[in-house]
This record gives sequence, C-alpha cells and structure tokens, in this order.
Amino acid sequence: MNSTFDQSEFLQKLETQWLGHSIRYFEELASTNTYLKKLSSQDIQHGLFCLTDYQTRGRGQYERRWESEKGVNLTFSIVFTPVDTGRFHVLTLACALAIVEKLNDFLNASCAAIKWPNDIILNKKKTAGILTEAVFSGNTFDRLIIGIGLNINQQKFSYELKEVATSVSLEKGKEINREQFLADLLNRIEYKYTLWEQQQSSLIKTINQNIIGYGQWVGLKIDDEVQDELYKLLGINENGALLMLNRDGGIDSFSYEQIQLITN
Amino acid sequence: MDLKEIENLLDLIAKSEVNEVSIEEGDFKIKVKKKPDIKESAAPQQMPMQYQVPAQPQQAPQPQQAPQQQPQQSSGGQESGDSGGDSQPSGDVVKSPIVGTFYRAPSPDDDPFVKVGDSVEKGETLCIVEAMKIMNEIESDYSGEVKKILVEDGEAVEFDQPLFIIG
Repeated sequence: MNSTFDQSEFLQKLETQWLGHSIRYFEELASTNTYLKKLSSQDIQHGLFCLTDYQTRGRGQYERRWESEKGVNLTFSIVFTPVDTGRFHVLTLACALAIVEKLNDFLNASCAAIKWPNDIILNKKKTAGILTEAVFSGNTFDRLIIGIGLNINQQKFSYELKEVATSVSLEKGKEINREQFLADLLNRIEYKYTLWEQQQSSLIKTINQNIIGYGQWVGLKIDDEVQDELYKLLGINENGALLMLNRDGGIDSFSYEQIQLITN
Repeated sequence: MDLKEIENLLDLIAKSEVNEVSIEEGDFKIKVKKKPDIKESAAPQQMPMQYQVPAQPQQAPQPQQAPQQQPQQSSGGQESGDSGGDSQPSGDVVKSPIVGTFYRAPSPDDDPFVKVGDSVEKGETLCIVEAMKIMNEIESDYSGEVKKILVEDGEAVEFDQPLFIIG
C-alpha cells in the first residue's frame, strides 16, 4: 500500500479555483508547516500547498509529535493570505468541518466529528489533527498556515496509539485512493474558506453542530485546573471564542485561557 | 538620495494620508513610518533608517483628514497608549500585533528564540503570541541586537504592547 503520491493524478482530479494549484511535493520533509513558514514572502501565494509522503518531525499543538507512517497518509499544509487578519480559529474549524463532511460522505455514515479545538474523531478515535500558525513581521500580518495530518491508509498504530487512533481505510475496510480523497477534500476546504471570508453565520452553526459535546454539560479544564462544576457547551461565536453556560446561568466566553473539554 | 530629498520626502509623507513608505535604490533603503507614540531619538544614521514623524492630524493643513486605516494591515501608527519609557535602551520597538499569551520558546522544553545580546536579522522569529488556539510567530521587522525583552514568558500581552527593543 505504501506508494509515492501521484502529483499529476492529483492535479487532474483537483477541481478548485485557486487552492492547491501550486504544489510543493517532497518525498520526505521535517514539517510541511515549518517549510511554508520559512519561505520568503516573494515565494508564497494564497493557496500554495505543500505535501510530503514522510513527515519526520510532524508537530501538533504545543510541539506535540504527530506520527505518520511513510507513504500511506496525507500530511500537508496550505498558505492563506486573507485580508481579514482575525477569526483564524474559525477558519481552523472550517477546515475541520470540511474533513468531517468528507469523511461522513465517504463512509456513508455520521461517524466523524470535531474534537474542539483542532482534532477530528472518527468512530471515537482520532483520525486527523490540525495545526494553525500565523506569521507576523513585526505587527504586520504576513501569512496563515494550516497544517493537516490525516490518517488514510495506515493499518497499524504504535502500542500507545492503537486504542485512540484510526485511519479512513481501517473504518472503510479497503484501501483509499489518496489523490482522489485529497482533491475532494481541498475542494471542500476552498468552499469553506469562501464561507469564512464572507462571514456566513451558517458556517458557525454547522461547525458547532459538529463539535463533540455541543449543547451538552461537559467537564472543563481551565489553565490545567479541572473545574468542579459542569458547563454547557454552547459552541463558538463568530470570532471563534468558546462559549460556555455556567451553573449560575451566566455565559462565560473563553478566548485566551488554556481550555480543555472533558467529554465522554 | 541626499538629505534635501529625504527632507522633501518626509514633508510629503507628513502631509499625506500614508502611514508607511519604503523606498529602495540599490543598497540604499529608507523606511518611513508615522508613529505618534515613540518619542525616543533613534540614531538616524543607522540602517535601516527610521524616522519618527510625529503624526498630528489636527495640525495638518487639510482640515478633513480621513482616519488612516488600511484594512489589510494590523499595523499602523494610530494606536498609542504605551509610554516610550525614558529608561529604555534606544532602538526599534517590536510590538505585539494581537492580544494573547507571550512565549519566548516554541515549547517549554525548547530554548528561547532569542536572548538579550543576540543579534537578529530581519525576518528572524522573536517569539510566539498564542491567541485563540493559534500560534502566531512574530518575526523581527528590524535587524540589530536584542537590547531588551519587555515581557516575561507566559505573560498576557495587549495589542500594540512593546515586546522587544532591537538596536
């Protein structure tokens, strides 16, 4: 199943207007996010796409490692240079939604969901993660990079991961064409980007409906402290702040704290 | 470009609605920014030269000056609120583009991006400001020596808060 990503097949199948037309492919690369971060401003453009078959130093949030077997999954990053330099967390979740919808369509089931803030869960196991990084030159916004690691054809996970991780292939029960899957996914991401750019309220609503624990009483960890009370998860607002209803009936909004949701 | 030309250029910019101008002619490079909040006299012979033009729209010849905002940029000299601080070393100030949490290293286990005394190039990463689950890398827009780091690791920072002095 291990094979080199076929760029020409992918480009043939790609139906986007601007996303992914310019592609940087590497058989092996430390990190696709880091690669796009280090390119000079003249070398990047909106929608530039970087993909590798073997990411040797893949990262998740807070520098956590993202492990991915060689030649079977999708590890890629996209550069965005939006005019609007806020609401980036909404865009991360819009990409997460694109992945969820693609997975649900592909597997003909409502089996995927967003684990806030940046993971995708498939049948209760993690199948994708997103790392969003922005670069500023002084106080001038330069670029936004959204990196996605998606388990496609991986059949075996390490001992630590096997209970908590899965791949699309394991859930589908057959090998997946990565080129086709990615082309479809980018098409969806491009569409979500347009909704994000237009600040469509329907986007926020759909994101929230796909967040695990939405509308439920959940446990909450704030800055590493588990709270005694449960909170009702009200989802994100249009700026991306997380809204929680507390036991006193008030709404708490979290933007800058380290928040972890404890859902079942 | 001679001194007279620079003078003319400054006049022109002071009267205009432009916040920032960069001109490059071969090796010569000049960048002019309107920034009402920094009073220190940075040595003008240093490269890149930076002239602080006190923007005082109320004294400008045109009575109806439009607010100088460019939607695609989060920069701009319209914000003040922080004091230059007389005891600060002189140099260019790198400010936070956003509200968030200031980190000097990519993770708690890593070394800081820069320390006081390090020399940095334009484009080198100085810190991360985390906001709304996004890691925002702040690159230096100046070359020089890190003279002072004005914020502690893990501290909350405001929009436009001075973070580094690069001289």
